[in-house]
Amino acid sequence: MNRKFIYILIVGLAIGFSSFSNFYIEELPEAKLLEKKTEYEAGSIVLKFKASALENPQLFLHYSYGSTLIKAERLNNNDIKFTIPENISTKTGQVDWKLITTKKTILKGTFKITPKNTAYPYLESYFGPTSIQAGDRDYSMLVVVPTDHYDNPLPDNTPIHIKKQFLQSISEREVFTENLMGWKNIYTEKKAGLMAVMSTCFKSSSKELVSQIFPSTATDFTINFNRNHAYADGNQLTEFVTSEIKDEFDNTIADGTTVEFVIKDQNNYYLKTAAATINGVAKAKMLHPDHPETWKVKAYIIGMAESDVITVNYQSILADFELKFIENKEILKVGLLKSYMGQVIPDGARVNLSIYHEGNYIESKKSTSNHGEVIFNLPSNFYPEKEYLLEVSTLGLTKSIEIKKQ
Amino acid sequence: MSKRLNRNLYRALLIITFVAVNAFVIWGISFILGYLNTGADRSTMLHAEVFKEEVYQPKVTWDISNQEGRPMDKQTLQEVENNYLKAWYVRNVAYQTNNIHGIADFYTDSARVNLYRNIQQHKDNFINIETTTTSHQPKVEFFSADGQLVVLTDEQVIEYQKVFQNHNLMTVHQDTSAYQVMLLLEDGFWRIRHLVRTNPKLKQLKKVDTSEIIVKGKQLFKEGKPFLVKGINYYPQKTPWDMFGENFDEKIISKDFKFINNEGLNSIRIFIQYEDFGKAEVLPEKLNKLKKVLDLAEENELKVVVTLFDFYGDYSVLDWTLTHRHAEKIVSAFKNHSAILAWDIKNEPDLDFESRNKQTVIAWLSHIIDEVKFYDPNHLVTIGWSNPESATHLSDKVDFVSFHFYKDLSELPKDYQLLNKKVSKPLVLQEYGMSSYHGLWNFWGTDEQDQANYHQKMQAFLKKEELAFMSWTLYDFTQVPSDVVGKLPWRKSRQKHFGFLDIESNPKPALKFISN
Repeated sequence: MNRKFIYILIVGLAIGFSSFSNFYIEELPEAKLLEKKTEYEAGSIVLKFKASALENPQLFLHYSYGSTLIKAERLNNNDIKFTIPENISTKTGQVDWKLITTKKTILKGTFKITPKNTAYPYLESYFGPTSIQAGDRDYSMLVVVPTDHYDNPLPDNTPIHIKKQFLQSISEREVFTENLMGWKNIYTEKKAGLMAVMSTCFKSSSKELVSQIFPSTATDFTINFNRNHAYADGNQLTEFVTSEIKDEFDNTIADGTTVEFVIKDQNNYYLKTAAATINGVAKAKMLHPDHPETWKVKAYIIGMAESDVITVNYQSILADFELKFIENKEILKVGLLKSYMGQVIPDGARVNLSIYHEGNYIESKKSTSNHGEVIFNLPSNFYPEKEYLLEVSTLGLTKSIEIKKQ
Repeated sequence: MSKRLNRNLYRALLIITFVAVNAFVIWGISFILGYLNTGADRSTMLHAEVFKEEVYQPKVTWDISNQEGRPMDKQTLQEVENNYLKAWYVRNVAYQTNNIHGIADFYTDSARVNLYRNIQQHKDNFINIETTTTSHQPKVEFFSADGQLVVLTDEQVIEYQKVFQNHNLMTVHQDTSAYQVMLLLEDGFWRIRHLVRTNPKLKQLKKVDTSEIIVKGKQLFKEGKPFLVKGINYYPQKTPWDMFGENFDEKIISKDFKFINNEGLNSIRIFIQYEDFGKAEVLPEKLNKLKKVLDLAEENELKVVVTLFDFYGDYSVLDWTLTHRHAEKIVSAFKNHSAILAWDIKNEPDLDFESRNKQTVIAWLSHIIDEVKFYDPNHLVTIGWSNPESATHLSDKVDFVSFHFYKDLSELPKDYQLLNKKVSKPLVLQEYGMSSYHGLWNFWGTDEQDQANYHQKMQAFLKKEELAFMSWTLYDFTQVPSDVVGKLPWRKSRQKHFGFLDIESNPKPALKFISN
């Protein structure tokens, strides 16, 4: 009995010590990795162990996309074999493995999977931004991610040839991958146009990627105007036209750039009209004033460029007009209003009548012309006084007439 | 007679059936209408949903110092971090449940198949992996000019994995890896395009021991002199287990601390409830209250053992990062507070061994100790084990070993000797005491005199062995929440009468033996 106890004690101690030593030495004598490779190419990977005494051995794997547990196959010579599942053996990166039996780790180790060597890698390329400004500052960036057949990025320092075409010139550069990809800033040109790039890696070529080089910002420009005649008839249109607006590199600015024309009149009131450019030229229109006027006009592309100031004069169309009472001075007739050639002015000219009594303002009446005439009704029961001063102004001209009722 | 009864029965049955059929039809219509209204929420198109609660908060430290390409802005970095962490989270959940829900949102077409295939294999072989990552140190390597592609190297990913097959735990694996990650901006999501695991560049953290109280052999030293903890577990009389609640009163606490100090004690132990303090998002007002308590302790020359994670009981691997943030926010706020003697990671975690799996609880504790030590290297760390037998767990990781003792006093010398032999750290008897309750629920219970005798004997033993102690507790309580000892009235009543002072704050005979 006593002897048994001593045996048990000794065996127990031995087990205790051996497990104590496990703490320091990774490998247990029970199992041994047969082929110690630290690097595998992506593809099929098999790990073999000499581990005859192991019960239900399994292999725990920790790889790029997670972890898993795989079962062993017993070989004829009692060795065990683990076939790494394809979804793991084809992905690059560090793989840590642990040979385990029920809850116990027997062996651990690590290996690296490298991308599959290939002369025809897949090329994934990204090019952007795809619209940039002409000049010497802006650029599009080309990022190329060459991968092997299993979608693994190729190792660092893989050479990538980049070609760039712009008009007649084709240039070529070489970059090397780092951090999973290779990249290059493709700088803009001084001329606007379409820039195309492509890349090759070993024997594979990417498709063409393009970036539109838009003209740079506008520079200052001049303006001019066109009109039918110089009369302030409130009817015709004056057209303001810019010169062909260019950027600093002599590219015509992009179509659709808004130009604002700001008009200052004699009374320092502002009028505004705007137009978008086509082929660098913007054309905006403005209705003629209905009275003699001098406009000072300046155009802006807001925040970028401006024009010189031009002056536009408008002459009166009316030399004089007639004021006449009819029907016992209860109706005032203005007209005929005649234009610059003596023609009856177009309908709609504004006529303003102000009524005063002994120097005091009483009221105004507004009307528009019809067939060159305007009629104001002044019924005597509304105007009980005998004397009034009537002041009529139209198209920049003012005339007055007095009423003296008998 | 019976015919009429029958007829009435039929009528009743008919009416009830009619009502039931109508109710069923109305329920059916409302169900269909409800169904048609689901899933059509337009806000979901823009991924602008506000997630109610953060579920995953590993420690993330960004490095954008040596980056190529377009300069990284804060807003984008925030979005990348958000999506990158979600990618890890959905992956972790997928490995745990073998359900691929959410993977498509955070991995591109070609990347997600790698996960799908592995998960399918796990499904076929009944493998589940509970996994989490507790730390990430992503370094932005490259950001493309058009803002659509980011490459980063996540330099230190600490991963913890528990592998189950047929619900049996097969292995536990923890390691630190680095990952090279390429993310693409697709449909408003930053999605992982490539993920390559590489060797981490291990950074050695310098261990700075700047604590005021240090451990040498089996003793604690304060300013070069041996420091023997003589303390008491403290709750205010009116608010037991709710010290930092609405009825927090500085005056009462100050008065109690003065009393404790006058009784010849030098330490107290207090408790921080996990949910009460706001889980991962620790509430500032709670920290303020804790600061007041610590300041008052300092005024009264008391050292404080702060017990974290009281009433916490989840331990699940996916919940880890939240508890880490909880610990971080509390301990880093008080890392320079000199009133703190030690952080007690958890009160009696061994009681959760059975229900929550011993290995899980130990692993959780071990990680939390690392977190606490990382954010506060200035203070000691311990765990309040519920009995001397459990106290050997993790004894190499804690600074001193704390154990509780509620068994018969005669067993203490033997248990103590055994534990003292097994561990090479200072020991603290962190909870002990006797209830003076006898009454309706227990006529044969111990009375106040028994309690005094118990403490007298205990103090004699403690003095003889020069053992550090913290008794349970200062006051008798009127209320004990059910979370503490359960709902049973005889347990609650017993728990109410462990104090040295009774409900009216009058001293009980045991008070004479509160210290030695």
